[in-house]
Amino acid sequence: MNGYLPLGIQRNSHYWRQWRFVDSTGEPIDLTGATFEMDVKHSAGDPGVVLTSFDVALVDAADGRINVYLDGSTLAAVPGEQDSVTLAYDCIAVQSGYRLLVARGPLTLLPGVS
Amino acid sequence: MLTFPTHLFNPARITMRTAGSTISGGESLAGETDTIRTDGGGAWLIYMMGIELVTPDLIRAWRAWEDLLDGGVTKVLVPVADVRQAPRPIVGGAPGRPSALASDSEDPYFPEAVGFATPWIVATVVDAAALRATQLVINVARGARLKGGEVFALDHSTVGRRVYRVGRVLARDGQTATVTIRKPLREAVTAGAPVDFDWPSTVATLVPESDIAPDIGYGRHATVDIVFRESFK
Repeated sequence: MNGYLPLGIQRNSHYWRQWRFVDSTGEPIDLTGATFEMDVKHSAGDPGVVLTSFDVALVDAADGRINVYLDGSTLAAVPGEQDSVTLAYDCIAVQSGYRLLVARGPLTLLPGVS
Repeated sequence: MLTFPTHLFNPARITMRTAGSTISGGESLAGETDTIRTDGGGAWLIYMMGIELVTPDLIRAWRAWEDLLDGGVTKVLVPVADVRQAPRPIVGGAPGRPSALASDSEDPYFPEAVGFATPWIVATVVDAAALRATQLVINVARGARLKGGEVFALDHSTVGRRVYRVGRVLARDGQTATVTIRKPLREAVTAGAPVDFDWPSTVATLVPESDIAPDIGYGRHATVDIVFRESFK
């Protein structure tokens, strides 16, 4: 599983989605015992600091469901408050000693209105 | 100093050429010819071709720029828009795209500075280099390793912002590379000086006696070309 998945978030909002992992036959993938790392940086391989991290929590491990959450205000320090800013993220599942890339792509940080 | 809004006029083709002079001593009896440069590396000519003025705003803005450039009198910063060839960082497994391009002016057609909303490629000069140096040591802290052919700009305190081009990579250590550059450095640089691969631009003037007046068809549309020359005035 290494799907390209562009994400977007506004500075004044939260990203809160439930992801469900299924295999090629549509059967859920058992995530029992898995932990997740999902950081945001300016680009892949950037040796600089992690800008923020998503909060990933198992909802129903046997059914392959996780909650993915990020508060857009944690990126307040990123320049470009009135512009579209392109950042990078990836999501690594750590299970049974393996680090599996489950999603990666750009995270577009957008200005809010309200 | 105003920046020419390359990103708004959106030329179909941008070419950087060298203006300068070489001389040859003729062919020897053995059939050999020596050619040397006599201009210290020459200056950049920046050709922007196929600018389509398709809206009233663009036509008006072009006329205003024609007046501002004043036949080659006024110095401006001219971006060369080489984004695709830049040492782009990776996002999602492929060379990424930069953030939105933003200017600092309320009038988008006459910006003082133009750059991406957040720095895209981060690079610095590692070792100080003297005036007219043709080699630099550059570290790319965020972005791809240099390969040769990338265009960048340095901000000099006296001669202003100047554009250069990476030639060959002579040595490499991780993200740091010793490279040849053209043109020779217009001014000495100190260690730690930022290297701008994002939106490089150079101080230039319109090539004198250019005719850039838009030839407007049916009152609606014109196609114009323009050539800038690096300025040392």
